Amino acid sequence: MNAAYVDENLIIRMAAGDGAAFKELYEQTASAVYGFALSILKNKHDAEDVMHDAFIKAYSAAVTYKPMGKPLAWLLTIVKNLCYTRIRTGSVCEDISEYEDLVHIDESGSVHDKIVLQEALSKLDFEERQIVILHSLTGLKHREIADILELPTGTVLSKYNRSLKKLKKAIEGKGDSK
Amino acid sequence: MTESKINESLKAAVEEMTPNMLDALMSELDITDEPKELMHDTIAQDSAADKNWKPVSGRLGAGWMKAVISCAAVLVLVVGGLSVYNLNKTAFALVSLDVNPGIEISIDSNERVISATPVNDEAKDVLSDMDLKGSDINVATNAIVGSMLTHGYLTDLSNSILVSVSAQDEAAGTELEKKLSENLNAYLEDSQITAAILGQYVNEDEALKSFAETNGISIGKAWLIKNLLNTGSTKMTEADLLKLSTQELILLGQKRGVANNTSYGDAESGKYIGSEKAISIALEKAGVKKASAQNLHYEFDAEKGVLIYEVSFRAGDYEYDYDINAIDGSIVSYEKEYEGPVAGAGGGTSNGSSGSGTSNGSSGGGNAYYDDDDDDWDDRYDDDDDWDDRYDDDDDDDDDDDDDDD
Repeated sequence: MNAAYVDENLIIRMAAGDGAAFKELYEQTASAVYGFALSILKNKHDAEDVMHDAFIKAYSAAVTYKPMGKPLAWLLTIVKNLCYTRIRTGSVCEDISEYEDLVHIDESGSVHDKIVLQEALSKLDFEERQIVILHSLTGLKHREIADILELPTGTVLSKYNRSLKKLKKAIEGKGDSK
Repeated sequence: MTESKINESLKAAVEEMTPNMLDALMSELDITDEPKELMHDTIAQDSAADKNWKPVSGRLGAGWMKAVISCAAVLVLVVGGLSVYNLNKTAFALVSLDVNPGIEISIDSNERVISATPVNDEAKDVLSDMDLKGSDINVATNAIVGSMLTHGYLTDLSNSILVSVSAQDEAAGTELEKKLSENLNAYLEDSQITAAILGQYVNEDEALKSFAETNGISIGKAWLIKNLLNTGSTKMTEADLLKLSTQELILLGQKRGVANNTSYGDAESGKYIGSEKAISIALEKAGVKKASAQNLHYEFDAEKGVLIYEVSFRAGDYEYDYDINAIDGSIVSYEKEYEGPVAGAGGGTSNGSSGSGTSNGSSGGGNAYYDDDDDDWDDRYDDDDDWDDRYDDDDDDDDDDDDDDD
């Protein structure tokens, strides 16, 4: 399910206390929410905390949602604000070493995929990480990503292209050395 | 590796890592995925069970109804807890609620609403369909705040409410103010809304009234402005403060500690960078390490209609003063003044070399791609490039860097 196509009625139903709508929203957006938080915070534990808080907040703030056809952007803005609050209050544990082990931590899934993610988190800068992750996990358009990140669309586009180049280089470099 | 392969890998890796917390969330929110057909009936019964609840719902738009439904449990609790208190109160009072919409509510001695008047156009919007006459002031307050939420006047970034009470009997008025602020805070907390509340008792007089009327602001906002001018800032002027939004005034009120108020939450939590960030920006621009900055302090202030953190510290023979824009972290002005060797605190000769501070640029470190914008957020990420250097040299076997010295 592509998160970009979240139905905004889910949020409207959620505002009326509809648990089934909450479940559906969660299922469609969990990995986008988690991935976006991870791209900002670079830390699994913090990303998990933010993911939890974001869904709780989304449920309680659903009454404030104004239907404008952008339910995912609304949800991701909640995620962004929670992450920024964490960064600002200094409560982010920058346990970078975790990423060195990302590949080994859990055995499931493809090692190659994890290496790509690891490279994305380590080689890209703050904005590039968010752009690349949002692009791959949500299917949102560059313009929509630009809105969420409050950046000009042109910047998002050029950063995206630059990031891909960096990533390709990093991954191929790694491949050679193995 | 192609673009789409990279995207697929990222997606797969994140999906793999995403924790499953659906059940935990649903139990925390106390919801199930059963369809909730009975929602409306349940609320109606709960509400009707409490005499204080005025069923105004018949006149409400659909949007407001949503707020009522999701907050109804809270409303009922608040009202239930208050019914004893209502029995004999003689205070006739004026309550004003300011977000940016401003609403003035007059109440009778039983704390029932006589009338609710919008102070500005936004407030008309908020009050549009509500009939609050005769309802308990706490119910009315919560309903108005609920409507501000649905109308988008209260958001994560604009999260502050000013609660002002004036009454014939000051003691009763002060008590009412504290109680209203407390209840409103509980209501917002229970609704999981992060908000800041500043409550104040207002000594209303003719001068204040005409000041409020001339400037088209509520009595409460007028009082707060007058109070802020008494907090000893050398920068703020009345004209400056009139330019600020209610949120900004509340933040100033909280930070500068205006007299006699009740304060909940933190207006800073929304869109402001926070004092720590402001301090680190100032230190960085001065090229001074936190450890070597003496007498480091900050004050929240307003200058020319802009909220600032005024950060001051001493390092070496110099005294530094930075005014940092509280929203975007830009430097509004700065001064570096020669103070002479540290001997007696305070004094010192001031050879005023104003504006001559050295600026270190946004980041050192030497990693080019962190430098292309001066986004404050990624400054903290600029430091940690070192660790990924290990991925740059291609000779990593599984043992890391212990094999250097043989």
